[in-house]
Amino acid sequence: MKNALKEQKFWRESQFWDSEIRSKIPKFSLISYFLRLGMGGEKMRTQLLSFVDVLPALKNPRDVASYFVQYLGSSKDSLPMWARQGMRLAEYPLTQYISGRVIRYVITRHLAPYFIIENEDKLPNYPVVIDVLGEKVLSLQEAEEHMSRYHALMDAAGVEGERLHVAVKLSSLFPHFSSENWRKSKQHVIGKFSELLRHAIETDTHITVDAEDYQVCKLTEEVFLDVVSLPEFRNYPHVGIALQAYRTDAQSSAFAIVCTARQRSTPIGIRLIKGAYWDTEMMIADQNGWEFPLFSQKHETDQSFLSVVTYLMGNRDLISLACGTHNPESIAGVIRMADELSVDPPEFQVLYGLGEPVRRALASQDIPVRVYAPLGNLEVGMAYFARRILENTANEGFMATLL
Amino acid sequence: MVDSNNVFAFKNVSLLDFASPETRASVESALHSVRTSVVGNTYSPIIGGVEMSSTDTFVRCNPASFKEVIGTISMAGIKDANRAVTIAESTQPEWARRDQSERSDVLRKAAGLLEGKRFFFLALMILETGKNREDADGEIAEAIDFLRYYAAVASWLPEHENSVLVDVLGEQNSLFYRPLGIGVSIQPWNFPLAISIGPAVAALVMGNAVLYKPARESSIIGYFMTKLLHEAGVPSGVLQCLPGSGSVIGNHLVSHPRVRFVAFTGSQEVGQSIEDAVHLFNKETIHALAPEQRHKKSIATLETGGKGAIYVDADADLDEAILGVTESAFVFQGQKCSACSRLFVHTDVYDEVVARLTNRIMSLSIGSPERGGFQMGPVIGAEAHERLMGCIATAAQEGEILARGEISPNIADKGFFVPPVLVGELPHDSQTAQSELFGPILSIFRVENLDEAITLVNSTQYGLTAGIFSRNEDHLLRFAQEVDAGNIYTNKKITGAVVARQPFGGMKMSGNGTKAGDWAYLLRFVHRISISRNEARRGHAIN
Repeated sequence: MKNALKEQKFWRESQFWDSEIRSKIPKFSLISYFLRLGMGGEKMRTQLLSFVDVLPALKNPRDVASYFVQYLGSSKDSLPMWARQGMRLAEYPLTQYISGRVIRYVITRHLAPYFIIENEDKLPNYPVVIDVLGEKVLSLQEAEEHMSRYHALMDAAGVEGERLHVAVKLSSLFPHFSSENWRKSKQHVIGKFSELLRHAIETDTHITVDAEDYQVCKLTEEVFLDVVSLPEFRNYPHVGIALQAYRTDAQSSAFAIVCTARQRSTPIGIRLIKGAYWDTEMMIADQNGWEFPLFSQKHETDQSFLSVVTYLMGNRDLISLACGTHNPESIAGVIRMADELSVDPPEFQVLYGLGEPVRRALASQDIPVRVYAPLGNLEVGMAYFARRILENTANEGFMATLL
Repeated sequence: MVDSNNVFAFKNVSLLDFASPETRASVESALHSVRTSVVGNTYSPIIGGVEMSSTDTFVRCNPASFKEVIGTISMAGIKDANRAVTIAESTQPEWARRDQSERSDVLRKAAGLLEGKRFFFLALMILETGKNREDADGEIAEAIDFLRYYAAVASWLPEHENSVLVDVLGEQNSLFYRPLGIGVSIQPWNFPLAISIGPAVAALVMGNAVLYKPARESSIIGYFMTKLLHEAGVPSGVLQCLPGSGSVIGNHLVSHPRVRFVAFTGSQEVGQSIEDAVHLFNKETIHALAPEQRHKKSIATLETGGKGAIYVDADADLDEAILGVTESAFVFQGQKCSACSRLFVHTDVYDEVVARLTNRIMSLSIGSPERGGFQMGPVIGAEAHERLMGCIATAAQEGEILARGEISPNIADKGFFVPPVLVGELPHDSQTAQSELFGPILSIFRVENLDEAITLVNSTQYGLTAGIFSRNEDHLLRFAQEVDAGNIYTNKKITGAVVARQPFGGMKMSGNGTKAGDWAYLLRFVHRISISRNEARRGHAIN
């Protein structure tokens, strides 16, 4: 009886969050129009995203127009009338130039700003964690350049009161960061991450190490845990790591982080997310003949998320938890868990743009929420974003969390 | 994981997962154990299962640390070769009479044994040939795959052959295989296990006997490969190992009247001389034989180098392109026939590619593959080192060196290390642009468009591998249709062909079109015999 009531209450809470979030989705805007366009029809969505991916590489407007036709041509029939007309225009050399410019303008100036923040001046006034976007780091020079952007952010922030939060990927600190290159990767990246952390302490910045693909998970965690245990850094609480709940070994990683936090006796932050590389991990596992390291069904990931949340909330003296999710059920679950433990709900984290309705819903209920904000060139950033979605079109991917 | 989608349910073996601490520890302990058990010994030819050392020896040194002797190799001489032919002749018929399934089982057993010994072979490969862990693992996986794949194909082929024949009432037609007999397999050091084991077991599984001549620089791996196959059940007379000089043993066996086929992978020059020798035999020598002996010699497999090229289009994803190019050009120091040694870049992105590529080349670290942590190791030996340093000097004269990696003074005089080099401004008919250098020297050329790129990719005498990085579907299709290469890749590196995923072999001067890791490969080692039976009087008319 008690369980049935619990189930009912849980269902009501999920419904509450679901409708709260939906009420915050902008009804009549170009963005919601494009999003709805993108959601319907997998083939067209893939083509549109592939087009956005290649856009930064197209130098002249004629190419923009002709690639648009090449990429989306076969979906002509599912496109709305105005787009079909536009495509017809794009096929003629005379109008190609104009349509190319229009397409680029719409994507770069109207779509992209919804997902990417162009520079520090355009940061919103609500709490954010900044991810500096860039190309893959392929040389020591590119690694230095990428790191210097973080150093510059830290220098520029500082004085005004609000602590700067940044997220960094360890693979961007060393061009040969991989498990095959374990020893060297660890050695080099411990040095580079320490440099960043040192500067973070000087400027009172919060740094989170982002999660990447599974092949570098253990390496990333070892580097992180080694660095935060160093005498120089062991008392700094504003440092964290992302943990993906879709990993079947998520719980054991959570355990390792808790142990390190206990040893260093200063809290460590964990940003718990579901995971954003599902399709990619499938391909890597298949091509290399490895076991798939993730849960194969979405509900298993959701379950893992909640059980790791429970575990970490039980260790809240050691772990500063942030929950990255857009899913109303997961949100309801986390809040309920906090309720049962009689503690304040943890900070939630949502994606810039796509997570805006969720942010507003949470904010309206006075629940702390921080926005994960990709910072960088609009066109390149948009391409990066499109690639991420393309890599995760399965229902188990994070696309599902957006709906 | 995705189920096998292939007719004989073949699945490639898993690669080692270096994220696992157990795997990394196993590599270290294998290196230690190879040092103690293998290094410093003498390795003799294996003839009729017997190892007899001779006074004719050479020493194999660790190319990363050439003062260290890995082993001493006893060479086989002409007498040994002749003896081996006789032994092979006496043991091959029994091997050929066995059931196909029995021979396939031997290969499968060998695959299991090799999988169990993969760390051993990985460590040995690192020490004897200077390959790094990741690359060595890929090669051992390829060797295991050859064993399992050819075992499966050998069982499948007869069924497939007979399924395409037409039967009519009263007549039963079938096709069966008879092995060619005795063959010689001469294989290189750059894939010391995989390229040695592939042709050998393909010949063996179809009932042939093989006289195997490993390369000088990898005779120890050749020795252990032979032992492993014997352990799996290949009769000792049917596979014999004859290390020695190609110009002595190799030549002798290629021209030997009772050796029926040749399997060769190596340089275009030596390949040419083998083709000449075989042609001469079939044209002249054969007529000196008794009529019943006049079996023509065949070149079962021939793979003779390449001058791999990659084209980076204006709309390419440069992150992917630069990664793919550097991997294809510099892994294992470019010592692969599939390696990329020519890079064609669309003029729109040329400057950006040069800049990022230069930076990446300067970020490659070079050192001992045993220590690990380096993207490049030593080249195979003194000769290669001298030759390649000469090639770099030539490249500097013919064009302009845009980037040249650094070799730490600590190791420069201890091993055969050659720096990675990027050369620009080369004339298309220059030596650097046309000849196979087999080293870490990458030429870069600016092109206006896809047409020019295709023409230039096709402009050498080779036709083995080629790749294109582009996001224009039309360009990808055209490239695949018009480029003269047996292995074409789009938006990925052009090295590391995997058995049954990228059957490997090329055209023009790169070979004779045989594809390794492909179902048709086994047909190169057999006579296909049609038999037609009249069944009319046996009451079988209604079948």
